[in-house]
Amino acid sequence: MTSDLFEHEPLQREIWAIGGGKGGTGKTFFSANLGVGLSQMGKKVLLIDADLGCANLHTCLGVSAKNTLSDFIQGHVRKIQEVLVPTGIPNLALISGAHDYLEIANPKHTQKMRLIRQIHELDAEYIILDLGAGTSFTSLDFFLMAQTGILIVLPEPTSVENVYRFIKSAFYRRFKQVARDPEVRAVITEAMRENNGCGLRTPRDLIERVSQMSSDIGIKLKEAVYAFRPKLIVNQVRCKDDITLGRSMRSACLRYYGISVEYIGYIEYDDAVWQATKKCRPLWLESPYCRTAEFLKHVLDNLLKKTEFTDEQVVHGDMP
Amino acid sequence: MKPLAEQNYYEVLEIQQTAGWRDIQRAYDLAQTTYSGAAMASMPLFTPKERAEIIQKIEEAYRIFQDPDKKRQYDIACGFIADSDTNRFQARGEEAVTILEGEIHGSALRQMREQQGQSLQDMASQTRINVAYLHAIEDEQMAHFPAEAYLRGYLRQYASALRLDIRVVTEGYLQRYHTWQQKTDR
Repeated sequence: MTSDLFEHEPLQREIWAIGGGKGGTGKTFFSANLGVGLSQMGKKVLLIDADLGCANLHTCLGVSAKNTLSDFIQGHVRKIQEVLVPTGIPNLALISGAHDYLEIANPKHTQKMRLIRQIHELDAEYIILDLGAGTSFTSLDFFLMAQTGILIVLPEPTSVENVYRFIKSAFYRRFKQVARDPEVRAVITEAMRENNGCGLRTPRDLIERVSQMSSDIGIKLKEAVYAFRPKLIVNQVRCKDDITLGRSMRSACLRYYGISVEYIGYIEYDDAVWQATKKCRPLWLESPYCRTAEFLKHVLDNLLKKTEFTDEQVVHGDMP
Repeated sequence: MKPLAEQNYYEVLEIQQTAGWRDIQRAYDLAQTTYSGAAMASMPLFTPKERAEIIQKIEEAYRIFQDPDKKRQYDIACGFIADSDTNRFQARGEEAVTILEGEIHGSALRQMREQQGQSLQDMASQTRINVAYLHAIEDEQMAHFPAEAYLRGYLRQYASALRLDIRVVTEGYLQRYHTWQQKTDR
């Protein structure tokens, strides 16, 4: 089934990466359900569990995988297609990251490059990468590789802080990829330290400093700022103020980092999610008509149409 | 984005120059939520001093934009509009003064609301008044009104949501309501 699914070269391939710093924010939940949602629209979708240290996307989908991403990374299999597993859901396949050894959580640069290269060759219309928690280089590189980077935040200070840290880390890693000059890279490294003591507090400070060193690289950094437009989803919303958090973070990111974060929707806290997870079934299939499924549809709609969340997408209810 | 000190008031509030009053009000509310007190969206990124500066600038912008004349002067001073241009806000402001005098009709309230681009649903969620009562107020279905004390409260909230003169709206509309009561002998 899987080989049939991914036999033909699709017209267009889009890679979405779902990250967000903190653990337990719902990255795996969104990966699985957006994947199911897309597959039900007739799109050929591949889910990749890129949470190499702590994989569990397979459990969310209720499948077990014999071959995993670690077999590919370690070179036990040559082609990434060999670790694809069917999910039992039409149009949806999975590359599981399960059963990994600890050292695989931090693959070498060459291993990562081989993986990224082969991901780009896969015959799926949508490839969704479920990233691990934290700001490991692996998660950052996958996030930057994707056309669409999606961040999940919970309405609590710890989660917000971690999302900002993730944005900053991803952003400065992109800067380093763009700037090959060793002196400029040293300045970027310095700027990443919170209290660097050299007056480089915001990305704007950094860009100004780099522009003084090399106007060419300065322009490249400005272009990188412009191109970096992560999407934001607020998960487990419990009150109306939580809905506003997405807009507030959008504003704060523009003011501080100078980057345009796009707020694409929210999902209310819902026991149905917990129940679906306990049954190892994606919510989209388990309770397709529940409120959360409605929120998910808005989020997916915004992702596909490349639009942002609007007031019309607020699902009215009894929220405080 | 430019540094705060170099931003004009539209940039401070993150709105377009064509923004209507409702957009301005919403942008102001959002900015207050984002940068004041212990707001978790801005705490990790900005120092208390920076947040105080942002709030100060937002208040400045809001003070100017609240007053159609001051907004117009600001737009002219910044070169956003020519002196001869007719400012939409001023036009709206004048209309508001002429409409909202004496006895106030439900249709006048509806007109004011629509001018500000607010739907009844928006008003209902903002004021937490049942949308059926808002309908009744605008359509003057006076037989469906709640007790006068409640009606007075609703009118106050309605006026406040649209930034209309609360006293003028409440008294003007109640005057009309009392006339109806006398006519129908209620």
